[in-house]
Amino acid sequence: MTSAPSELSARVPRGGTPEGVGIALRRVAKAYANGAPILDRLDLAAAPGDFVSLIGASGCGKSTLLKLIAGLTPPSAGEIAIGDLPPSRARRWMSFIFQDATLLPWRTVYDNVALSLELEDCPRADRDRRIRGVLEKVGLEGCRDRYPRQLSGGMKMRVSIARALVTSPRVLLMDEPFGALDELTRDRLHEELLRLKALQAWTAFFVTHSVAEAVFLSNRIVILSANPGRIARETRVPFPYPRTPALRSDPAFLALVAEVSDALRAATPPP
Amino acid sequence: MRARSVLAGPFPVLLALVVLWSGVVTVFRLPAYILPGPLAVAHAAAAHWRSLLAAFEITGLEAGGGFVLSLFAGIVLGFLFSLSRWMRRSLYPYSLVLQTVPIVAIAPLILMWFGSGLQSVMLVAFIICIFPIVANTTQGLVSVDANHLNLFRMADASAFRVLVKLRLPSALPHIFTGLRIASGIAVVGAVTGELFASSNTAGQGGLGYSITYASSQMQTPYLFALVLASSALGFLFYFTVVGVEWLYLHRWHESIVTAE
Repeated sequence: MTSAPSELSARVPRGGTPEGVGIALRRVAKAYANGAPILDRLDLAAAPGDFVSLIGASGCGKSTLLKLIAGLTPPSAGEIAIGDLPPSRARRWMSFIFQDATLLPWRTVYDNVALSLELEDCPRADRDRRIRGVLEKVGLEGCRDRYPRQLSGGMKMRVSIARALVTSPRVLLMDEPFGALDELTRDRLHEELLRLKALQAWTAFFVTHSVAEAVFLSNRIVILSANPGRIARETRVPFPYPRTPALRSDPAFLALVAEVSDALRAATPPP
Repeated sequence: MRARSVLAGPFPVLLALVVLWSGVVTVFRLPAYILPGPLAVAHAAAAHWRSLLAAFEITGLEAGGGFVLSLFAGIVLGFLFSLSRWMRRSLYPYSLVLQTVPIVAIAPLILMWFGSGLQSVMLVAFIICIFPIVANTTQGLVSVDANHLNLFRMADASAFRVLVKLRLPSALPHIFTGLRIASGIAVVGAVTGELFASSNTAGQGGLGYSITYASSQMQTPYLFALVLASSALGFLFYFTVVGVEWLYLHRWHESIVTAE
């Protein structure tokens, strides 16, 4: 449950930016309680600072894979290492952004972000500075006293991102965070996420259904096939960071989107 | 808009009912011991105001005591039930017994076991109040959003922190639903209890006691005043809970927000 002090101090150099951390999955499998396989013998390695997108048909185990890395569910077989720690002991390095914003409705924007710090016993004196800092970074300093019901979907997701980033994580796990948003809001949040990534060097795993989203955000795309989930193909995205909105209409970008879409189709059995 | 908001709501209906009541009594020339008119009831209330107020206070104390006891016990029990499925499955049916056994049938037993007086009446009110509080608290505590729980698990939060920072606040709307139901029936429980428990205590009893007394004396106008006082007491309880609920929930909870 608790991490040794040395691990905690290794986490964030005080005042500095935390380093991303490498993640390795070796022959990882996961089955349902009834024995039906969800994921089968998965090998995957991410270097520190990688932005890995996971795409695949519904039910291919993308979300399960994310939960395995988070240590929220144990693998049936195989090994997962976050840096050199098992997930359950590295949880405090990681932040999870869920499909819906999962804000606590009884807390204001400020207090929702504060939750992460409360739960990791961050000293009170430190909290305010860090919360203000991260709210400013996501452009929410003006709504700190609002309740979630008073926010739009995009703003809720910004709060969720702020809550994840305020602890300066070394790994950011995202489960289709922008799935429910309109396209313009989505695009803006993509650009913001990349801007934030440039400020804090976390390693990212990003589950999505959108190929364009995966290509725009990540430097690596992993395509999963379904039943049971296996890695069908891995693609490197060559476009350098920082990426600008103009990239979306670049012919090379569109060509890669088409190529990944084809590969996804090939990996997905017809319905 | 303004005219409509004055015409709508419960008060015009109340006025219409009083007029209708008064009209029926006058037209059919009903004697006061069968159906007293509103004026006769008001006269009776004024004539007996001292004993009416005393009865109101006694019943208020009994119902309030039973309600507060059931609030604490209900939330604690709801919490225990929320801890394990085993506990819920094995004990929940028995808590349901409290709700399904007719309270009039067990009130005499309680009187026999615990003596006639305040404590027995409180116990009757307690028994009638506790089930909705237990049921709703349990429901609220177990129906916490799975991803909210995952969020706390990612931070290795202790069970105590999950309870205080997540389960209790997210159960609060459910708990208040239970409290609202209980507050309305607390007075019913107390009055029912008094019909049995306080009838043989000397001197002034609560509303229930006074109702049996007024009924035996054929003081129908006073009986009406007592019945109206009982339901006024129920209203007082109910709207107190609604007020407290509003204080706690209005800033964030959707049901309160849309009701505004």
